[in-house]
Amino acid sequence: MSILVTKNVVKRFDGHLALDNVSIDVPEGKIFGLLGPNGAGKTTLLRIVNQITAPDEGSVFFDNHPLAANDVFRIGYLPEERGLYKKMKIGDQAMYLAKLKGMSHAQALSSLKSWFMRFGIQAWWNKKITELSKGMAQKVQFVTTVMHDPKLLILDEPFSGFDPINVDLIRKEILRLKENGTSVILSTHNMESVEELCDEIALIDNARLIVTGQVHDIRRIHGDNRIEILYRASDPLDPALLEKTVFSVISQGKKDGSYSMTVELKDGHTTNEMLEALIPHTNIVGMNEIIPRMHDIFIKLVTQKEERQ
Amino acid sequence: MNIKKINLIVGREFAIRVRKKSFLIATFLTPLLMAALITVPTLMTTLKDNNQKNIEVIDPTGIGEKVLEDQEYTHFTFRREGNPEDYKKDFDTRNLHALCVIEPIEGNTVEVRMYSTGPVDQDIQRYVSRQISNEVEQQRLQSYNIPQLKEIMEDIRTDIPVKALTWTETGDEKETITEVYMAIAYLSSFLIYMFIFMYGSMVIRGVIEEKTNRIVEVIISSVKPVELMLGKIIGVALVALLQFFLWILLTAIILFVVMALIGTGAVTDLAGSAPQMQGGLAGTIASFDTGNGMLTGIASTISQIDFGKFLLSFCLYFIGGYLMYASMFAAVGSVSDAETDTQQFQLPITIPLILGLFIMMHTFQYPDSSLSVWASIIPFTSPMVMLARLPFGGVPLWQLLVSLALLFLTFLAVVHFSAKVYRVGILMYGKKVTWKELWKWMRYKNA
Repeated sequence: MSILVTKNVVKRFDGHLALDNVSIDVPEGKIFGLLGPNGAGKTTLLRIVNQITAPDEGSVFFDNHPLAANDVFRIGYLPEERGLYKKMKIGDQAMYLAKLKGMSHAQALSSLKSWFMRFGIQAWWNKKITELSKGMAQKVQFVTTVMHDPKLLILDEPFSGFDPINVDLIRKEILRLKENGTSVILSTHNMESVEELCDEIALIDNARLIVTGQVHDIRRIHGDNRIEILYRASDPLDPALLEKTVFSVISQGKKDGSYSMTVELKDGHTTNEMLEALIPHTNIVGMNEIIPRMHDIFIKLVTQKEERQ
Repeated sequence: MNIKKINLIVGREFAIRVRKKSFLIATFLTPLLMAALITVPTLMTTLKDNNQKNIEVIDPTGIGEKVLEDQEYTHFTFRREGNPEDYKKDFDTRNLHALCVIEPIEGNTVEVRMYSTGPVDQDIQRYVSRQISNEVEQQRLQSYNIPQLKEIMEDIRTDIPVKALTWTETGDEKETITEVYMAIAYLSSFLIYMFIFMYGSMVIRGVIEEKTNRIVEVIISSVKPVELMLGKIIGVALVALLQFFLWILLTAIILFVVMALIGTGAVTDLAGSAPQMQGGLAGTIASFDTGNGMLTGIASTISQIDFGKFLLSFCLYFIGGYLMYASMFAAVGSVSDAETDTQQFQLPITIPLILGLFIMMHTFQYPDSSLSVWASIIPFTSPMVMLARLPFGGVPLWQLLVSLALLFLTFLAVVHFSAKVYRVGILMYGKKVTWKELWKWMRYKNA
């Protein structure tokens, strides 16, 4: 089941392509990471999903029907460029935004009261944004994004402006919302949170979709077949003595009282063959497949792309 | 378009503005100011300088002694001879307001000079000038030795006022005073100009505020940009109408209270001075005496204006003109990051507005000139110019209808293009927009 599908979306500005045939498929009830360098077209895609702007070609489906005007009521959008009215009381503007999302006065009030309670910010109801710190304002902003219990939550750089404690709070809230069945699109440059939170990702660069899929698949696919081996010995192994057809040694070091060695398996060979080659030489105590960080995959894919051009 | 959402936006825009201190201050102080403008000139006339003023007159001709009489607060003393230089040294100790010197000169006339160490009372100068001029005129006439001169003069004296009469649609004749039309024309079209300008700027500020607060993208993820734009424009219009209504109501109440306090005697004075005040505003209207004849003239003139039609037209032109200009102002606000950089795009919009005001100044003197007629039909000037023409009557119905139709059609076209600029502009930050880009945005099918 998909909550959101874009099919061959094209968007042109002034002759240059902002989105070039982008097709993504956001599964329901999952957290979907939308990644890409600045200016890649992420914000344009998010604006199309929010009907702030329309695609030149291609189509968008929300909850298995073509995206329609009333769908904005079931989407919550936290844009990267965000803010609140400075001179309006926080409670008043939260109520206003809730009503614009189609909620009745009573619905809006009860939902906001419970969210304010949850975040421990009831006392801010009659305050103005100017009386709060940036982090506090971001909390209010988050509440106004989720107060109408959206089916799809779109968060563009949700952690910016928060201190570590509040980053943690927001992260937990996102996971809790997911538990309750909300689908989330998370656009961020923070790759640690992508690894931690996202089930699937799409990487956009230069208006094109570069890669999309499950996070663990992508990480494995982009792994270099590297393995970290821990062994116990009086002296480090001499790489010159080792077999070179199955694997090559990348680096050596010490870790937790043992020696460590990172090797790269050569194509067509298995870990078992590597172990067979190593066992005669030393006493192996541990072995780990090294899965590349999203951070490295991101940089690799984006720079590869640039080299190709 | 979603009316419910527009209503919500209108409600917010209206509520935040009428709760502002500046709105309350402007709403309650302006009527006080208006009432003061109307009543103070009347009060001033009753508050004359009532210190005793002594004036010494050196008058070898004797004319002064013959015609200058002591007034309520003015006392004249006369000398046949004397030298002004003698007064110069100790003028201040003599307790004199002024020294008046009358000297006979060539051509059977006199020269009058007034010396003083300070400004000489204007009323006294006028009095002396009038009295001595009359006397010199009399003396010169007498020098022709015409028998029965006095009777002849009485006989030939004439004063023929022009009575302006207008044929009404029913064929009646009614007395009219053109100045009253001019005052109403001026006031109503100036009000429209002022309101478009004041509240148009308010729309610009509101748009820029949402941009700089970065709330605009949050809002337009729930509503369409055109809904936000229209909601803001309509909300501000309601503030304008409320303020306008309160101004009229409060000014009326204050005037009523002031009249009651001053007493009934002053009421007629006030009634007389009100058109004078408007006349002063119009700048061309000579002051005229207050009297019962005048009052009935004014009443008769005003009664001839079809007020139902005039008020309806005023409202339609106000709404149409405001909506048209405010949509353009909203587009200007959307492409600006700060109020200071609105100038580039605001200027071309304010030029037709100011042009309308200038043409209106011409129109209320020449309401049927071809400039007036054309400018009252062209939408960008019509709100001001047509309202300047209407009080005089004689505007063919077709012109009024064509003008209004054009105004509202133009409004729709302007909203269409403004909305296109607006929806792109509000999401642009830190970029200087050029006219070429604006043109491009207007042609985007889906921004």
